[in-house]
Amino acid sequence: MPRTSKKYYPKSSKSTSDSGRAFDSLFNSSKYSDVTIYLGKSKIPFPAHRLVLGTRCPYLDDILQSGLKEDITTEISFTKDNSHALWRVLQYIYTGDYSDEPSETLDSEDDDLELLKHPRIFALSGIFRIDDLKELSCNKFEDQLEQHWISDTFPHCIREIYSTSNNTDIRKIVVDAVASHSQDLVEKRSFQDLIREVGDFAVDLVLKMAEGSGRY
Amino acid sequence: MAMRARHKIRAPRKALDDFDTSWSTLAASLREIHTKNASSLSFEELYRNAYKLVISSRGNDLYECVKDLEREWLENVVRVRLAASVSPSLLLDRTPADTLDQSNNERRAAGERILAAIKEAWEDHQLCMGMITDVLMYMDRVICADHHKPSIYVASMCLFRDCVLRAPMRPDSDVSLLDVLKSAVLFMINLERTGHIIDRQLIRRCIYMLEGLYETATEEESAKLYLTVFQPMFIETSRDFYRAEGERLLQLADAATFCRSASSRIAEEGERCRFTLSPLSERGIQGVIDTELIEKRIADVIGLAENGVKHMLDHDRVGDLANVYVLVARIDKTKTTLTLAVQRRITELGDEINATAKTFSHPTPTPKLNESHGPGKKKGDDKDKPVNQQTVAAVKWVDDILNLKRRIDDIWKRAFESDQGMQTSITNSFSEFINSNARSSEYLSLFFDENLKKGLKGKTDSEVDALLENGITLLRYVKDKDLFETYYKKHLSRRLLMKRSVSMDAERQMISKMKMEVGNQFTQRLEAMFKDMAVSDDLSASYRDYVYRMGDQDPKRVELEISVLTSTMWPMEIMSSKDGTAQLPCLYPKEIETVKQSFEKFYLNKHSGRKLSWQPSMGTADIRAVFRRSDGKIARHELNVSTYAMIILLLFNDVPIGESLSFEEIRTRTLIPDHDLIRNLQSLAVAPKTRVLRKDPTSKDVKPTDQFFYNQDFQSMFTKVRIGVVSSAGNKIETQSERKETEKKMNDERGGSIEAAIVRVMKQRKKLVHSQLITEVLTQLASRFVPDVNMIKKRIESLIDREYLERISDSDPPAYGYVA
Repeated sequence: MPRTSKKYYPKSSKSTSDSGRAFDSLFNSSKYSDVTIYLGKSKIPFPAHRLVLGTRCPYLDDILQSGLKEDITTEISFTKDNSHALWRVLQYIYTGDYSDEPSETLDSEDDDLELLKHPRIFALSGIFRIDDLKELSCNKFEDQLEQHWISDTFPHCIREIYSTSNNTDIRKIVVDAVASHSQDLVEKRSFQDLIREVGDFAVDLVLKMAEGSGRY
Repeated sequence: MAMRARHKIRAPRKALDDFDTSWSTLAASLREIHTKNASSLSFEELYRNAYKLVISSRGNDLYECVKDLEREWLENVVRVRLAASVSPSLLLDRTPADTLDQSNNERRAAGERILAAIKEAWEDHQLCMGMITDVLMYMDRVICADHHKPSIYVASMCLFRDCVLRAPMRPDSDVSLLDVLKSAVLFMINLERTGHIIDRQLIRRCIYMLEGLYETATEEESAKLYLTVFQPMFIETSRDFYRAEGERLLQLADAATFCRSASSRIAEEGERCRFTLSPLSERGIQGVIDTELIEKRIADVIGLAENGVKHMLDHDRVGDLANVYVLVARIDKTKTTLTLAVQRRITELGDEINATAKTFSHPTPTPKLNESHGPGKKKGDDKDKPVNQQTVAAVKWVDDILNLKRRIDDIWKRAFESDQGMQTSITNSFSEFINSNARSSEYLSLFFDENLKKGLKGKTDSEVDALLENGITLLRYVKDKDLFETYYKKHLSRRLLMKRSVSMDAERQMISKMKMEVGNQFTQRLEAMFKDMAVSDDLSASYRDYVYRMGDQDPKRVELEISVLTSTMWPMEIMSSKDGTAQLPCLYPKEIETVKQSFEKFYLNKHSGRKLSWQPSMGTADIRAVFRRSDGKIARHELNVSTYAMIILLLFNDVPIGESLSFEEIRTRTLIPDHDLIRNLQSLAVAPKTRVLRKDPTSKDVKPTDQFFYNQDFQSMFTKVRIGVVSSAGNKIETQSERKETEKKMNDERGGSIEAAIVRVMKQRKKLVHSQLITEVLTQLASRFVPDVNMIKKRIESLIDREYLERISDSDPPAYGYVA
């Protein structure tokens, strides 16, 4: 995973920074809205724009031209995902970045656990096929782990990462983090359970450690 | 790479059940898409379903399930439906020619039905697979990368190819839908070629399908079904068609029609490829036409005796020739067949022109009086048409060639697109037949002579320029430019000395044109002649002054107009006698002798050390004659005669009326050479209109025993009478002997030029291989004439003998060295 990029804007907006930010004002705005997206289980409506969605996200582009239900009704429901995570993805689509803070619009909904925020964005960026967002969420997650590897939710986080995506980039981040703090982590019961349960993770970890010992 | 191992780990048991549930939902939805019932399906749900399966490492299973589903759909629904639309008439293998219109129409309607059905099935399949691909996008991303499998779209296209198009339609026959499609399309193309109207759009749509399907999942350009399945058959049937068409056209049509048909077939097929079939076939089908209609037939077409290229050339069929050119250019960059035909015709026409000139120049066995060839003046005035056949033939020859050239040039520009290669060939042909006329140089010079003497009268500057330019064009073709120079000099000298040029401007213009065309060296001597003439004018004027200042006011004194010529610059043969020996001075009458001596004194005073030799054969004199007729009247005439004639006539001043002088007497008293004497007496006493003397006996020939009387009864309508000099013998024999002489001279001169060229080359190179020396000498001399290689060899030998060159011993290849 290339880690040199610290700019969190999509590639398309880098060169023309001003016009690239032209959609900012349309975020969560019913002005010109021609599509409604329903977020999460409680189906919170979000006013959206065909033009923005279609040009920024290949997946939404496909949906809106599919000839299937969403194309006809101009309503898209994402009931299986957390509404905060969806919010952040949409925020990224409109503005080129997303905020760690929960949105006020979604007061009624619980935000993701701290350590799950970025992995979930990462998982959604895979579904939505937005490669820049994948990179951005990976980088944010890696920064966050430097502090929070000690968190009790880390094993849960790893479990989710291994079940929602088979992407090697984000798996490498957690494996690296676990490997560098292995002495603190492996003693924890929750970690031992994790290793027992998620075979892919166990394999990745062993390979990583073998690679490390080989070097010394 | 460490992370790549994950797929080896089997998914937990629970996922299997999940897969079945998820897949059955998905499968139902995919079927709905195929049956066009998709509007109630949620894209998001389908996508997520598939996504989940791929994330749980079941992507490959999903891929295979989708493929199975598609195969089943194509085999059981699509193929069955299409097979039902195939009517039995399509399964018979026939060409349209075999059957009546009735069954043609039937077959065509059936064909259009099946094509429409195939087109629809294909377009549906494409549309549905597009939707399915979008839904399964995540699967494609993972599967195509990890398993190196074609995308589900490509895979389903392969299934369409194999399960619909290629599979036998019925269990009892191996005819596939593809076979039906091919023969239906080829059938329709055949209909269109024979003048029917067909549904191009429909065919084009079916061809799109063949262009969109590939033999391989990797979809190389060359693996398009169109190229592997359709094109070979299309080319093959087209070849048959055009083979027959070529035969038919050659039998039924003339060359022009053949070429028009071929051209329109080419355009038609191009259009067919663009609008009905595929641009991919354009080259192939054009190749078929090129082979069948052009390569195999065009030589026959061009050579058609009645209406081939010869006919087109003769009748200026520019459009038809342009068609031939375009066709030939397609198969042959050098256009050999056409070029040869054109060359052949030019040579034929050129030979005709040469032959005409030949017969024209000797039309009657009894030659008329020669004017322009005798070294004397012409008789008659300028309004006379050129009586001399030789001149007429020459001018006609040049005119004919120029006309032919203009016509061919025009055709070349308008029909042959000003083709460079053809121009070279045409030029060669012209050059060939022009040079095959041994008299080309002489004729061309005569052409100029005639025009500069008469032809240019009353023409504008630009017309004169065009006329001269035309002549120069011909000069370009003449190889032996030195021979031309010799003739030109001869003719020019007469024009200058006899003051026969219409315009000195035109003469000078001519010289500068030749200078541009052939070079400085060529015109040097001609220019020197002009200079002599100019100097002579001044000289005459200052001599007149001189005489005036001497105070000799004798009114009877003969006026002298002198031309002093530099002997090396002028063609001396026209001044010396026939046999080439030096001329003995003749005896001038006293009054003339006085003037002659006076001028010599004047001249040598100015230019001491020079030698003047008098050329009475080139001069003229104006004399006033008085005739006392027997009826008592007195007639006065001004006679313009040659110097010799003047000398003869002056003798009769001292002869009493009624008395005569014999030939012998005249000869001894004048010392005029026999040859000139006879000719001058002939023009004075025999030529009908200018009989100033009477001869006894009256016969045509002049014999030494003849007596001559002053003819007091001379009559003429004009006050001024010009008496030309009769040439002593017939035109034909004289010119031939003259020619021999010219040729001999020419050879001597060429020998000199060759030696000079050899020495020039060797002086510069010091040492040179034999063959190279020959080449260089040839190039150096090419602008003047084409030297004979044997002559060059002889000259080299001679130079070695005279120790200008030496053979370099033991050199291989043989070489020479320059001896300083």
